[in-house]
Amino acid sequence: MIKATITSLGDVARNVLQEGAGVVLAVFNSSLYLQCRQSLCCVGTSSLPRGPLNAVSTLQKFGRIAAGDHWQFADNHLTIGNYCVLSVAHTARWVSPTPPEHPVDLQQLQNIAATIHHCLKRHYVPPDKAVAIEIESRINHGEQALQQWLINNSDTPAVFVEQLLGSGDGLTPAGDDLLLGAVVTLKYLQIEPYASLLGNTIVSLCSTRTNQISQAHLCAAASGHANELLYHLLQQCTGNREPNDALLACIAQLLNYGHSSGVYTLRGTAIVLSFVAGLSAGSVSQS
Amino acid sequence: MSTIVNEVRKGFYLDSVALMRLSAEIAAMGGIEEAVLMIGTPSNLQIMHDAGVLNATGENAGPNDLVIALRADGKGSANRALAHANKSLEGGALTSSQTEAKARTLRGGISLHPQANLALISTPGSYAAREARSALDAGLNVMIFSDNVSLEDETTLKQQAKARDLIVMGPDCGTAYLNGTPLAFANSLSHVTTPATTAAIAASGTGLQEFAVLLSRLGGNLKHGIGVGGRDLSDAVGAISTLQAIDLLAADNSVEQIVLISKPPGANTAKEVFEKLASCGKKVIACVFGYQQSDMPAGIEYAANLRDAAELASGNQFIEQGVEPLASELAAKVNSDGKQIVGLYSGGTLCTETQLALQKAGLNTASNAPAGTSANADNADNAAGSHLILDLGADEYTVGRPHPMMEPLVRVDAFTDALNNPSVAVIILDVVLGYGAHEDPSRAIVEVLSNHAVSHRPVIIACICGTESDPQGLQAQRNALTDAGIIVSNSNCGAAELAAAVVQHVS
Repeated sequence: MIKATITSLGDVARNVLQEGAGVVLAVFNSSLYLQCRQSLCCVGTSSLPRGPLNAVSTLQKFGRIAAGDHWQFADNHLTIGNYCVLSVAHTARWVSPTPPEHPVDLQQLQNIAATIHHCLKRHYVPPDKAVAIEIESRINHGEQALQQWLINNSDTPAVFVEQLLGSGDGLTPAGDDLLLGAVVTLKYLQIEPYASLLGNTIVSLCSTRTNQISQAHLCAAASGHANELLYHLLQQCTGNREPNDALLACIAQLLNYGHSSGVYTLRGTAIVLSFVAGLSAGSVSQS
Repeated sequence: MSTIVNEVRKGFYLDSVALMRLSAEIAAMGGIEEAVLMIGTPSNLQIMHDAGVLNATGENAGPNDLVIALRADGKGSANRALAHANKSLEGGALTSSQTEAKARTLRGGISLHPQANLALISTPGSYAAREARSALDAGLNVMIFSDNVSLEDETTLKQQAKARDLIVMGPDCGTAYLNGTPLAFANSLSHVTTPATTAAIAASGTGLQEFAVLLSRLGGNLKHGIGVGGRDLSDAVGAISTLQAIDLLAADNSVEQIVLISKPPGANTAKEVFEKLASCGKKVIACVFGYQQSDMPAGIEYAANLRDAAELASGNQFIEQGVEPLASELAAKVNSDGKQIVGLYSGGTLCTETQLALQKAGLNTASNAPAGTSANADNADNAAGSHLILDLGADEYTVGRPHPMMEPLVRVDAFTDALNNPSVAVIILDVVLGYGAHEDPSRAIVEVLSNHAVSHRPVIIACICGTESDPQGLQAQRNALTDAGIIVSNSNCGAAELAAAVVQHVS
């Protein structure tokens, strides 16, 4: 048995471990998902960002662990299959950063939103195959509907949420990533009732519209929790500073996260930032 | 003409980078017009449909399933690409996760698939009832593949299921199709692109397989095939599952017609079943082995055999040349002593259908699983002079041995005996393809024949219960048999009719 350490543990992950036992749902190159009933915890190598579902470990790989293996947690030790024992005796709890307490400079936010849109545009590769074209078309429609919903203050976002959920390739489909970016940004900036409406709609629809893993991330996002890369960006966005190298670094980090997860998360965030930047001063982060 | 091929891997997770890399690899292969590997969410199924890469197989995927969807310039290119995808997914080149393979208990399976609503029980019969009860307690519908479940257990389980708005399929339910998904021994219908509007209720095993296969060859498509077990229509069980199945299918708006395939129901049960069928609001076809047209109540179409049932359900007919010219030609090859038909079946319902077809042609039959007027083959006096139609999948042949659908060598001894018996004029064989069946069932037959010259052996007629998308491939199996001089019939019923015509010519 390999002995290693968990260095960072999100609250959702901690709750899963405290259930005591379960099975391994899925194993990837640098991470795996532990399941207990409907809840998931993602155990990863040090390359895994800190996040609500994540248990970042000192393990280098997950050889010999397979889906269906059992895990158990007792006495501050997580045992996965017959492969490893991970100590959480000295693990840091990771929590999502709290929203800014100061008013956000909307003029700066407008500049930042423009910078993000510019970066997304440069990064964009037009689809050339039928399926990719269909995905992009669906995502575009969803984006436009999200924008209209924000602008028109419409009652329910159910139609475009349903359209976006589960749309696209990848383990977490593009539409899910976009919704995650949007709802976490709304939550972080405390834009109500939009944040709650969108979050509640996502939670109510995602169980039938996307896979278990994406559902788990979306449910955390609906409560305002995502991995640290998005918060690094949001903290830059609300720092009331001109776009700078630190912002560009955060954008680049997201653009390169996963195969396309970061890109679509950024697209969701960019739509919300543009909307918020257009609001009248004083309506943002006055808590 | 482009070919669309889909494969669904249930509960299969692959990280995004690996998914994209494999998609790109496949798309770059020769002859591939479009290729994607996507999870089967409702939105993605719509996307794949709109992009023209989805077929009936892919349509059945769920959000936790991986869909491999290809459009290629032909079957060869598509199969090569699919083989590459499967090799990559199974060879460990990509880190992936297939969840269902690792569940060791019912509880573990439920934990892995909390959204599941059906448990397939395949344990030794003495444990099956207990597992089925646990599944019902967990809110799952149950398909009991196991046999040797007591009548009392079967009735109790079905009553418990009904009280919870669940259904028990089986026991001894070897085949089922739910929403187009084949379960246990079943043929692949993934090549069929017509809308699935037909549903069947059957015992069920090779009868349901043969019906599904013939329906697909006639251009129809099976949406549901609900197996209720061979005793459900008896008065002892009271058709509990059959009656539930009728209600379920009647409530499914996509189902336009219901086909009942069964042995004759118990006298008390028949009335209730046929009344419910006649008033269910759908077109109903009944293929009840042993029934005559006059036995069938009004409002229900009569099918004398599985071929008739498929023809009625599809609205199309097989283009047959007529058995007479071929029968005459084959009869001329039979040696002077040859008078008897020997049927060596791996499928029980096919064995029944053949007995009834021969009896309809005026021939006496004997069997270890007698149907109609057949004598019991164990009684040598009664069976003397009869055509012998054997169910080699029956218990007396399979105790301590594999079922002949899984291991065709089980049939070799009986086949060799028949080949060497000068009184045998015709041998009929069924060759069952599909999931669960042997990977190359024709091979054992062909190998036996390699020691028998065509000129000194009985006429051999085979029916292949299979489709082109079955793992064994219909055409490859047919070619192997015809190359060995075997006559391959379109249907089991057709094989029996041809055999009857041959011996009548000889006589």
